[in-house]
Order: sequence, then structure tokens, then C-alpha cells
Amino acid sequence: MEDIERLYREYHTPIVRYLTRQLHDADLAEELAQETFVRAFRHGPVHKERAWLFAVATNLIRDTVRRDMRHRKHLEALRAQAAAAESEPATDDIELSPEELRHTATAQQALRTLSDRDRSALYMSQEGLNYQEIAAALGLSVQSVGTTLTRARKRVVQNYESLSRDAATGDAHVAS
Amino acid sequence: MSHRDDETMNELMNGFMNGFMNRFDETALKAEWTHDGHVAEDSVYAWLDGALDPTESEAVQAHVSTCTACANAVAEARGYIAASLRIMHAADVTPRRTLSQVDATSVAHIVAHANNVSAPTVQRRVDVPLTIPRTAPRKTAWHNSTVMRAAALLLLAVGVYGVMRDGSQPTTLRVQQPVAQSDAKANAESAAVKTPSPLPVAVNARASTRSATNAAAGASRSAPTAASNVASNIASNVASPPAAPPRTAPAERQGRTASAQQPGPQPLPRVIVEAPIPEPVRIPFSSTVASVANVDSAGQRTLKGFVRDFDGNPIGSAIVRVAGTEVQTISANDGSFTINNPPAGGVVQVRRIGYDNTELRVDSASARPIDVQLKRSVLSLQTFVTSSLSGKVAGVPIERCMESRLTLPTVASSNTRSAYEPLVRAMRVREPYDQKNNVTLEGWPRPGSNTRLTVTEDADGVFSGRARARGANLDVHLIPEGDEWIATLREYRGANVRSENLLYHETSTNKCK
Repeated sequence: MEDIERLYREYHTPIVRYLTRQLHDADLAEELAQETFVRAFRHGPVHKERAWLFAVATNLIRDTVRRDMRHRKHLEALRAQAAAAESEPATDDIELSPEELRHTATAQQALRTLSDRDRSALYMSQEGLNYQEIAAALGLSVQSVGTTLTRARKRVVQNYESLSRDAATGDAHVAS
Repeated sequence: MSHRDDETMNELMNGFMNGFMNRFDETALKAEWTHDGHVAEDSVYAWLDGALDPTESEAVQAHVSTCTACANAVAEARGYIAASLRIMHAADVTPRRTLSQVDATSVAHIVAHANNVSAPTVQRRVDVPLTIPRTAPRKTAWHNSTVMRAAALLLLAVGVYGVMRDGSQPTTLRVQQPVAQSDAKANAESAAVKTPSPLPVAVNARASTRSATNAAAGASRSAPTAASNVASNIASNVASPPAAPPRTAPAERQGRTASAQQPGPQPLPRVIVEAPIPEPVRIPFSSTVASVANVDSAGQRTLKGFVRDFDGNPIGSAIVRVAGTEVQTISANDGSFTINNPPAGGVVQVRRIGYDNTELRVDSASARPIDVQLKRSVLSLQTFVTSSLSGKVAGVPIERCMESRLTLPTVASSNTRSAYEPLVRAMRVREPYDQKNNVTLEGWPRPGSNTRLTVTEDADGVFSGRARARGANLDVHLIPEGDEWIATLREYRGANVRSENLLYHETSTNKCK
């Protein structure tokens, strides 16, 4: 039993973070994190634990998101909140200024413009996975991890800038 | 769209995972150079990420320090990396809750859940028929500018929208209810309930076997034996399997999920029959007779052997287990394993992800260690990754073939008609992750027949299609619900309409040709 405890200690938080960033739903993220560790428990020892866990989590996301419009609604809600917050006193739920809320919404929108694979690779690298682990988790060659990350970073930055510029005019223009 | 079952669950996980261990590439990355001697852009990023092989990294460093163009490229790359990190941090806010540290949940919770799910008690679930919102934009389309513009306009028009947690989203509401309904079906199902499987105590055995093997550098015989002694001691200490483990954890989660979604309409509940967990698929191709070696002074028998593939390579991390008990161990990296006190005439199962399950019969004949050979499981993988902006197809295609079977309680004799025959007994799905999937229905329009149809996915991830036969049509809606299938079937036969909601479990993924 020590094995699962160690796995849990080391990886539960990063996995939940990774899931939350992708799903924008903390409850669902925790649920899927549980599921990931249940599978780890059943599966038995794996050599490349972190990559394996992230791969499982990514697959669970894919299965969930396919039938889930939550992230779209979420983004709309977030921007609506930003819009609403500007016309009312800020609510106490989030300690963010309308400005920050807008940044957050734009940031999330920019991330949403990436393909699932590009975005997952970016999040994994944020969690400290190396190229080999990302390659294994996403089923890519190590070589193409570099390409993927490069493309993802440039795209998210460029799109963020476009979205920020156009946000004031209420228009959205996404660069590809 | 995938299913799980208890023990074979992890081996039959996503097809992708089957090749995971073999696909893990340890080779360090080499730098790429342009034809005029500069560092290629991807390699600049890889270098900054620390992903390059050390020698390569030095070469890049040396070049960059003398080349202005490349130094500029590095500066630009640094900028992008930093900016993208900033963006990701900015995005780390979820409405009503910021991304914070998660409270440590007890590990026992996980284990309990793992055990509960493997306890094959029959669950009655009351299912609310779905409302499938027919929204126009597809998931991929939502990225394009038209939808965003529309969304932006919508926001301006709508007032305070409310956070997504309160958002009303018609989905399937699943409420677990105690087994109160009495049905002919219900009685038939409960008759087939198996006893809950015992706690997998072997986790300890696994850990101690591993550490023992590591400690004994020369892999002496005594170390594995000692570890397996521990295993069997623990196993024997588990007197009897725990009775019906309380399903508090999943129920809580279900309740939480249910309350998080809007209740929605409350139409007539339909009863879902969740089939009892079927026996793991037996594929005994090896008829090797296992030997029992070494009866020690205490009269204890041990079973030793090696797990290999057909080329003779050792297979580590294979689960070797005595069927019907909780005694199991894991093969070491050299493929060796030891099991204490295997029952004479019993069966030993050997499982490893990526290989077919294998069984052996234990015989107390000779004293030679046994050799178990595992056959690689055949699974072709293809998937399509769609780039959301350009709509192009990128990446390696992956296709998963799987069979989902609704298992019914066995009937006493073939003369007796089953009290309940579902519309569809089993489905075979050939599943590329694009919009169309081929499904073969077994048992429709009549038992023994097979019908094919194509299902397409709508924006909500529901797969729909219509099967046609002489005198009957069948509308099929399939929803992957985590690791299960909910199928809503509606059959039109003349003036008769028959509807069913059925829950399917995946039983095999090795069906691709």
C-alpha cells in the first residue's frame, strides 16, 4: 500500500491542477483525478509514473470533454461576469478586479484556441514533464514534442494579443 | 467511448496505453541545424527547455554565443516562453474557486472506491431519459471567430449570466436508488450476483517482493521466497472477504454531481439493468503444466518460474495470481516470480498490459521452475487529432476496436427462454475518434442476427444512428459515460414502439482485424 500512497502524495496535486486547467471545473477535475489514481492502483507498478498518470488523465479528459459543453459555457460565464462586474460592485466570490477578470477570460480564450494536443502538451510542460514524458503521454515522437510546444507557445501568445486588442471593440479575431 | 471491467480493466484500458511502455522513448533529443549553419527554431526552444542531449546542448550554446541571428532567435523564444507562462498563470482562475492546493484525501478512499467498483453487486439505477439539446455549432466550430463573435454579442445582450456551476445543462441524471423495485428482471439479475471480491492485499506483497528482489543483489532464491511468504501470510490473515462494501464514496460523488447539475424535468424513471460483472475472458493458449518446486521443512510448497515473451525476453511487472484467491505477486525485471502454497490442481493466471491473459494449471509433479510465455495482444491504434483552428487533420491516426457486451444472467438450460431479451445483446464498435463510427449490433432484429449501422457524433458527444431491417427500425443513441455506455434504443416495428435504456460493459478490445 505504500506505493499508492507515495504516488498520491507526489502526483495528486499536479494531476488535479492539470485537470482543472483543462476542464475549468474543480469538482470534475477532482473526480477524474480520483479515477486516475484508482486506475493506477489497479494497474500496478509502472516505470514512467508521471507520464503514465498524465496520459490517463488526458484520456479521461478527452472522454469527458467530448460530450461536455461546460468549457464553452464557462468561458461565456466568465466573460459575462467580467462584463457584469464592471457595471456593479465587485462580488466577493473572486477577489479579482474586472481588469483581471478580463485578462483571465482572454487568457483562457487564447488557450482554447489551441488544439487539444497542443494545449495538453503545454500544460504538461508547465507541470514539469520532460519531452520524453510528454511524448509518451500524448503518443508523439520526442522530436515532435518540440515542434508542438513551439507552435503552441507562439500561437497562444499571438492569439492572446489579438484577443486583448479586439476585446475592447467587442469583437474577436483569432489568428491562425 | 470506452468501457471498463474490474480486473481486466487496466489491461483493456485505452488501446493507447497498451503500447505505452514499449513506446517510451529514452533517447535524448539532438539539435537540428538549418542548411546555413544556424540553430533550427524548434531546437532553440528545446535547448531552452533543457530537452537536448548534453553534448548537443553545448554545441548550441557555443554557436549562440557567437551568432547574433541565433542570439536574437533565443531572445525571441525566451519571450514567447515567458509570455505563454504568464498567460497560463492568468488563466488559472476558475469561477467561484481559485486553483489552490487540494486537501489531502485519504488514500483509503481510493482503495475503497477501487474495491467497491470491483464488487459485483447489482446496481439498480434510475435513469432520466435524455434531453439532447440540438445546438448548431460543433465542438470544433466553437473556436472559430464567428462563434466567438456570436458569443460576445450574446454576452452583451444577456445580463448576469451566472457561473457555470449553476448553469443548466440537460444531461443524464443518474440517481442511485436502493434495490426496491421488484421485477421479473430484478429477480433474475440478483440471482446472478456474485460474492464481492476480497481486498487485494497483494499490494503489500508486490511492494515487499520488489524490495526484496532489489535488496538481494544476486537474486538469491531465499529473498523472493521470503517476500512471498509475507504475501501468503497477509493473504491468509484476511479471513473472509468484507461483506458488501458500502458504496459511500461513489454515492457521494454521484450525489454531488447530481446536485451540481440542475435537476431538470422529472419524467418517468426508467430502470437500467446493470449486468453482473462477467468473468474475465479466458484465453488459455499455453498448456504448460506448472511445477511445484521446493517443499521446505515446514511442508510449504512454492511455485517458481519466469515470465517471458515468445522471443525469450523476460517480462517484468506481470501479475501472477492464483485464480480465485487473493494470492498474487509481480514478476521481477528478469521475469522471475515465486508463489507460495499454490493449490494443487489450481489455476495460475498471468496478466500483463500489452499481452494476452494466460493461465496455467498447477501440478505437483516435478520440481522444475516453469516458463510462462505471454503472447502480445494485437491491437491496432489509430486516432485523429483535429487542429481546432485550421480544421486540418494532424498526427498519427488511432483506431480502437472494442466489443461491448450486455451480459445477461445465464439460463439454466437452452430450452428455457430467457425471461428478458434485450433489444440488442452486444455491440461491436470500430472507433476512430472522428465523426463516424461503425457499430455492429448483435441480436437485432432477432436473436442471432447482426446488423450494422453508422453512428455520428453530435456537438454533445452523443452518438446517434438508425439501424434498418425488414419491418423494423432501430434508433440508437449512445453516450459514453466515463467508462460505461448508456444506450437508448427505440425500436419501431409496425405500430409498436419499444424503448430501452441499457448499460453496456466493455469486455474486450482485441477484436480488430
